[in-house]
Amino acid sequence: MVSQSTAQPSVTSHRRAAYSFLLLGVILYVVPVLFKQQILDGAAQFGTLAALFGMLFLSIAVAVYTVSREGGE
Amino acid sequence: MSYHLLLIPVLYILAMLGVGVYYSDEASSDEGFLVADRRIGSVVGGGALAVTFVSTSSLLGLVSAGYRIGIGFHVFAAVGSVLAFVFAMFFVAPQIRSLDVSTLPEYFEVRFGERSKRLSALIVALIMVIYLVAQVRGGALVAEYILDISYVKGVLLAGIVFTLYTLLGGMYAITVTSFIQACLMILSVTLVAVAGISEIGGAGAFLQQVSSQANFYFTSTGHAGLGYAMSFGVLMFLAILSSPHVIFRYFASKDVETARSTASMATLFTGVFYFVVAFVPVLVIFLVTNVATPDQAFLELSQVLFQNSPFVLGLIFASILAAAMSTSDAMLMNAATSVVYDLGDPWFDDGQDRTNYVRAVTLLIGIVVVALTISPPGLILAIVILALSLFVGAFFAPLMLGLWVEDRSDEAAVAGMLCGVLAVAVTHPTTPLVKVSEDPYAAIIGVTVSTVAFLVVNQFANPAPKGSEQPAP
Repeated sequence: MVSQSTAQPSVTSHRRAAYSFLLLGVILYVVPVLFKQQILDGAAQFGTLAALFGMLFLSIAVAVYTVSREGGE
Repeated sequence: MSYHLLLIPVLYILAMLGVGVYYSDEASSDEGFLVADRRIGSVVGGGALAVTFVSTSSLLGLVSAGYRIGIGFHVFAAVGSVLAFVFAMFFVAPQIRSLDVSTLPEYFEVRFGERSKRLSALIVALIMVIYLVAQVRGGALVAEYILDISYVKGVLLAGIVFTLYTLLGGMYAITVTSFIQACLMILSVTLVAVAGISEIGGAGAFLQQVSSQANFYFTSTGHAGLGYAMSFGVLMFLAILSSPHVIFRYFASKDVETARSTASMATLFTGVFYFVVAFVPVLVIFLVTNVATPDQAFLELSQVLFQNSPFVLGLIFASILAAAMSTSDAMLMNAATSVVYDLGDPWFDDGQDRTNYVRAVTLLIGIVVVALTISPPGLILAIVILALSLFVGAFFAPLMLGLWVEDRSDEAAVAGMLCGVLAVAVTHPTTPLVKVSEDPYAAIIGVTVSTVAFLVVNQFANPAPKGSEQPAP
């Protein structure tokens, strides 16, 4: 059983990491759309992958957060 | 078709029927049939919730569209779906569960009044039947391909299996079967993605091939416009928060906190599913030389990768049948409960057990859907987008505003539902009275019109009596 006081900081950092990654993905994803896409095709591909990974990390972080909260209660 | 290949799909179908029979006793009361006696935990409930929204059109349709136009719209759909469940986790699931209602129309009765309950029940019953036709058609096409039977036999098989386990086991059965279906689908797409990337030579070789042969693939627009991709993502977000067959999963959670955790677990299942599926269509481009029908691209890729492993191929085929059934059972149950519990109220005494009536209506709707599916109108994806858009137009604004607006009136909810449905119907490309360029735009127009209608009418109408219980914060 993980106590809430020890679980909370790591959960928060997971969530921060996930949000940051998703934000990075979305920015990299949208930038090539706003500017000339042909120049930034590489960035667009990286941005799309980053958005996908960000979404995955976010969903894992949300589930970890919930499980930790239930474990701490 | 070999015995080895058929073994797992046949076992899967028998297992689903077995779950229905197993839970038939527990589902023999109103509370048991409608909300599984409010005993569903977060992991099983979360898996079931996620897969309710992921159907054949998601699995085969996403692979097909990804193969043709790239991954842009898929990323928007994935992020929209995940964010919808995160939003539901904080602002919808706990609040709606705290009201202790059993159906979406009952929610409208508690928060607004009798008229919005009746209207919402009618909308649910009618649209669910249209939506079910698309789902059963998808299941039948898959059964036709996999089991090598005629289309009509495929319709009968798909229709009979999910109708039987739904009418027998109610919410218990459709939750357990949907959880099994979620695990099966994630397992099968992961097997295909991993085997495909290995076949190409690993992750490095895979990305190199994407850059050289399909550089449109991992970009934000692909071959489709950005407008389509973004509006599709918005449609997914709105539909998860307003589709009756998704919302009603929260009613069966053990308590308010479990409802919140259920939405959280659904983000995990949805996130993993969309992430893995994103890699499959590009593998079709690299590994399948001639794709005869894009909608069958996933099946064709599976056959290329696992032609010497009939059991694995059988497992993948079973997962596609699972995708067809995972949404259909929840829709069928919603249509039947709306007719018996919400529209049928005047014909029953208070407290009278209606389980046998709802089972009879479930069977009747199943028969009607099977009959309509034998010669269905329109394309599957077009029907699915239309049905989702109608739900979004009808229910998103009244549902959300019902949770958060203090003085709300029954008239405002009725106006919001009617104006939203009409706005979608008028602007959707199937009834091109007002030209909009893409299917998903209609849902966004519907929500806007519905919200304005609700707020305007609410200013002038008498507030409804408050619900017995305020939603949890």
